[in-house]
Amino acid sequence: MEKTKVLETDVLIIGTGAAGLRAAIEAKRYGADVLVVDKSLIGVNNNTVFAGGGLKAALPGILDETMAKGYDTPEDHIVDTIRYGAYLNNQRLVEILGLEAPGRLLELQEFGVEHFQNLRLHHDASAKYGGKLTKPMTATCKTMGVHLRPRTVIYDFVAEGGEIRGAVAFDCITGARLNIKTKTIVVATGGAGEVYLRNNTVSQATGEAYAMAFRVGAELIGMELVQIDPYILAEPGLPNWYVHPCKARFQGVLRNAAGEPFLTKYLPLKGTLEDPFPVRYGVHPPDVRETISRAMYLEVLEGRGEKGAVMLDCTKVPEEEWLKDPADLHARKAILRGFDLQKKMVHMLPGAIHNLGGIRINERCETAVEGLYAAGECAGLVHGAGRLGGNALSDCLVFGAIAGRQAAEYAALYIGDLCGDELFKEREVLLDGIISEKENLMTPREVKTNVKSIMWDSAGPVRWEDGLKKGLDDMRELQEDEMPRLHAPSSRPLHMKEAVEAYHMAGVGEMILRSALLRRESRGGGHYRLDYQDEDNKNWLKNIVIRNVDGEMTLDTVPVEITRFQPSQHEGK
Amino acid sequence: MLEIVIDKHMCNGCGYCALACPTNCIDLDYDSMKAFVTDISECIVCRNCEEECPKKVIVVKLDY
Repeated sequence: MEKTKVLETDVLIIGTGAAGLRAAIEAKRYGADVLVVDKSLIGVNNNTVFAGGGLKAALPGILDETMAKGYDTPEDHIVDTIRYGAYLNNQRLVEILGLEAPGRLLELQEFGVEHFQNLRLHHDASAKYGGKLTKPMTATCKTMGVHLRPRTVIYDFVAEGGEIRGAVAFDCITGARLNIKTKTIVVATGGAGEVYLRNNTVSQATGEAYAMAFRVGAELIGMELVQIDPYILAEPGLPNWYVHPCKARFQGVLRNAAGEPFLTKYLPLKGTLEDPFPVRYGVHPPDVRETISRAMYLEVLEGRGEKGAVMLDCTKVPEEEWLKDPADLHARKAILRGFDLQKKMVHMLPGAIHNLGGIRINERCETAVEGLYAAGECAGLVHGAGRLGGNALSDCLVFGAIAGRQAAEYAALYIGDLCGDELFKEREVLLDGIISEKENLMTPREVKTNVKSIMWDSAGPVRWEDGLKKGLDDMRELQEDEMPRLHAPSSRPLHMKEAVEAYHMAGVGEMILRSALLRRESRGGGHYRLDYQDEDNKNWLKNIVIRNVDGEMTLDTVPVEITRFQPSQHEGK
Repeated sequence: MLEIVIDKHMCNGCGYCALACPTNCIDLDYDSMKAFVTDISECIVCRNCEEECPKKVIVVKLDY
């Protein structure tokens, strides 16, 4: 076997979305030696790149009204974020988000980001609005001397005595193994939308960092809270991709198999059905997407769906509406590909878009493991039980910067040498297991598909006790039966990457299932229980925290971090 | 129509297109060491494969 290569650095940053790149810039500013890795290419294939282009911050008159509402004051932003999060947010984190987002947005110009006010402006013929962030930020990293290493799959962390020591990795093109010795790690790996059969995230978003951080002792918070986006295509022959909240779609009406505009049952009608969505219901679609998703899913679950989906009726949308926004035209050409929306209704069904919970961080982005930091979607719990549209990128930029600075300071004060090779050797066991010869082998894609089906059927937009219990049983059976047969040959490193993802996806799935089973209420948009449909502030104004206790997944509840905003202060909750 | 055209003679099997694809619709065939399209219906025309191919031998053809 080839000799394992050793890399040494002060700060290892995993992921090259907005959070990872922002952390890299900040850590470098504070003088650290920074290595950024991505299991794909740098700044090319992540959820930031494919984000809808919205950023929220208190920059009145600067941010575009539709996609990225500007608030008059940070206080307004904070209050709205907590309200949409249904009071499960860590309010310390929300206060930081509200106060720091304007500055973080304005400084994007320093990194060469154009049109930060609305990334959808002047875009080319593609859906990569967020690429307008990652491309210039990647260039800034290069100029500053950050080491960027693409195609590097980290499959386990190395820790000792509650302190992070490094990570074991391999190159998913050459197959060469790598030991990365580091003083500190910033996890900026995004979410795990891919654990669901229907999702609106890139296929890289498999969430292995949750499982790896859990193993070394980090706490996870709010894993049951998963945001589901409504407008994902379910049309045969077309991608399971979303149609951006573009202006023409604002005019469309969701209908069930009988043609009824069912959304009015779930959202009070404020205008008429002919009005654009914000006038029709008095709210913006990105801010009530969970309600829409749940309505769509329930229609199908209760037998009023058409081919397992509902229909979006855009037949009444005038042609000139489509011509107004280049994003609409792109969606029609590239995603709908000749599907005539003016003649036919299109099948839609929700899909997972954002993991609201994640690795538990404090206001310095510290986790329960010393030297391990997290920022962005993989961290929790900024958004609570529901996320305002546009807050995801603000979250990445604000907490990416904090994590980068904290990690650089930790590295600067680090005393002692980097860790020896023995601990790394021990952690190679996962990869050794995957490449070892075995009988009745299962390919990574097969295991992944099974995990995704279990998760979508049992812990999707609508959950209930029996469904969750069955999902948990199925997942345990999969872990016992299929996981030992998971195989990828060492000669096929891209398959090894998928095997690592499949392995960790099952672990993340179990976290979501167990947390969702424990939370016996419905809250915000992130968690809806058919058997406990009401919000229960008396018993459940709590966060669910997952800890690794001697290798066992243990769930606890902790009080919500409340600074100034009590649920009783708003809307009589 | 939508088509991803790969010049198989020029493809060097580096796998960058597979890494760049956000929807798993392009992959590397390890037997021939050439890229191939697994499922065109999942393509979202982001052109990542086209842009990231170091040999510039992938073209995403979209005609609607």
